[in-house]
Amino acid sequence: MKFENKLRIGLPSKGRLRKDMEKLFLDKNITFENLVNDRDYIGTIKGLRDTVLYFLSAKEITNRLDEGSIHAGLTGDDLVQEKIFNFNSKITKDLELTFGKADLVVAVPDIWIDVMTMADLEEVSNNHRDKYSKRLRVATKYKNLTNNFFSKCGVVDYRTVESDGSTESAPFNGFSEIITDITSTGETLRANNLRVLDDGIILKSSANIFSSKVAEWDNEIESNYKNFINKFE
Amino acid sequence: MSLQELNIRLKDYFIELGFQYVELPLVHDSDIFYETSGEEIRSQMYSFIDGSGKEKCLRPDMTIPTCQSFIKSDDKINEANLCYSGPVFRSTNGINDTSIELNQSGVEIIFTEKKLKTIYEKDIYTLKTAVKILEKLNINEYQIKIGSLNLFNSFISYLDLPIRWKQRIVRHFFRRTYFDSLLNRLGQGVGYDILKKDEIINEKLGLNANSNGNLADLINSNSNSGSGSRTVEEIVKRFQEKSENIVSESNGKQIVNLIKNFLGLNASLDTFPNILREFVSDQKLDFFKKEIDGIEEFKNAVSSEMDISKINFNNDFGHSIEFYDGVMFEIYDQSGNLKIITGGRYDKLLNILGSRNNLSAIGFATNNNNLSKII
Repeated sequence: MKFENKLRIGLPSKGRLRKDMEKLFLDKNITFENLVNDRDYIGTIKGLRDTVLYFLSAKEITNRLDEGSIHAGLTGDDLVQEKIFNFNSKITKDLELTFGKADLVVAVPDIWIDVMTMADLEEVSNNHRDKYSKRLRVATKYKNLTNNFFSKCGVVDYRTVESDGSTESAPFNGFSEIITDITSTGETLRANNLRVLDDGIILKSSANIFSSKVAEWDNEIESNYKNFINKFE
Repeated sequence: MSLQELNIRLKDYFIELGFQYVELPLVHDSDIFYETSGEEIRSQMYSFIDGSGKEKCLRPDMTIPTCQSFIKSDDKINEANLCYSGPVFRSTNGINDTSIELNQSGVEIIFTEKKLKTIYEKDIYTLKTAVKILEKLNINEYQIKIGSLNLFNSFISYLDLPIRWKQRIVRHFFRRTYFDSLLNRLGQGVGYDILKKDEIINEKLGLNANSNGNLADLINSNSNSGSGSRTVEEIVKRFQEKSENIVSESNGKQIVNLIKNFLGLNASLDTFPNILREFVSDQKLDFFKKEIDGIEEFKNAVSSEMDISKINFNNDFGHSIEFYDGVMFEIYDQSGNLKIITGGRYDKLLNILGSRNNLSAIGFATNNNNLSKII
């Protein structure tokens, strides 16, 4: 399979996002072709010429969009806004999908009954620094989005603690005081005795099809991409 | 004159005036800048992870490294006149100009307040040094803007507000956007009444607040999770305070107007004490007399040692770096558009950096990139 002069699209290779995508594609009569088996990492779409599909993780799709080695891809707002610096100048959101909905939120221990808002958090983090000469620790996978949001809310006396999994258990384990994390139902947070602040929604995220402004486009690729997007109508 | 030449010339001027030159590394541990300036500085810093996994950065500032090197040098020395010169590195993230290298030359004057002959001794000495440097560079037309965080703090301290709110307002003086949103909130009235308090207890703890008096016991009996390093007593205390600290909408509005009017005061240093007096009498305030006398005293002290016709006092004067805590000043070129010197008092910084000697400090830095445009 030759890759030059072809429309290159990144699609999720696994997990919930993959399942939801398959359901949507079935619904829209979009069929994959040339897959050797389920674990194949490339393929094509029936009826769409000069197009190559790459099956990647959502994170990887985001990186490739940023770099411009794929023209388009399916990934979430959360990853795009966290991972791509100046994302507006590099990618365009062409299609918002109905799945992958989740919020990036600020959550504190449930028993902090005096902390309902980001303004409370600002004050408590300041008290914490005065009292312990240490900054409040925020466990998160989303350092950049957290820093931007906290700064907008005037919260400065904190440090982020990088967390790559089970962020919600960090306060209980004593690795952090609070967390920011992605949640769709809030169940995991509640199970860990954490509560989302009243104004603690950093980002409302969903799955989308993005195109990369950094990738190399020509007329043919553009028209192929239009045909691809039209299939969702 | 090239920037390098200007850096060297200014360094030589400072040494001539008796300052001791401190040679600073370009690369530092990032931590110290986060600890002193907060996470906000992160977006402006050029940082990287070194081979051992430690986060390092190109210095975004030279005041902090200079003070740090002073503290490390000798515990028994309680005063110093230090100077530095060279580039600092700050990302503007595409905003303003794209130059990442800002050349600065500056002084840091470290002292013990108790040993001063007059309270404004070092402030005036610093201002005079800044002016001397400009004269050496043949810059005779400039404008000096002065502000004082102490004046603002003491004004706020007199207002009829819960202490939490006073602290909050002072703390965020430097963050203009957030500061404005704080005033906005205050203007709508803050705090919640007893009904809302019970509602929170019922909702968050799933308990009937009236059934049991002791909140701490209630929380303890309900918590099977960590409290994130805060004690239950601490949580309860703040919860109680919040429900007691009510500011009504009409009071809030009145206070916000008063703060805004105060911040609007801006005049030549010569007339500023009288402007303050008029303000206090117009607003029918029965406080602040002592502070106005202090400003009068400051004016007299400055005018006895230097020409004050170029000095303006502005209450709404803020820096974007948070460690300043007393008198602050900026010097602009003749047009008033090009900032060539920034300085101020930062009494808490040495303590934050680990000094145990209760030292005060004041300093300034020239913006050599801008200076080079006018010499």
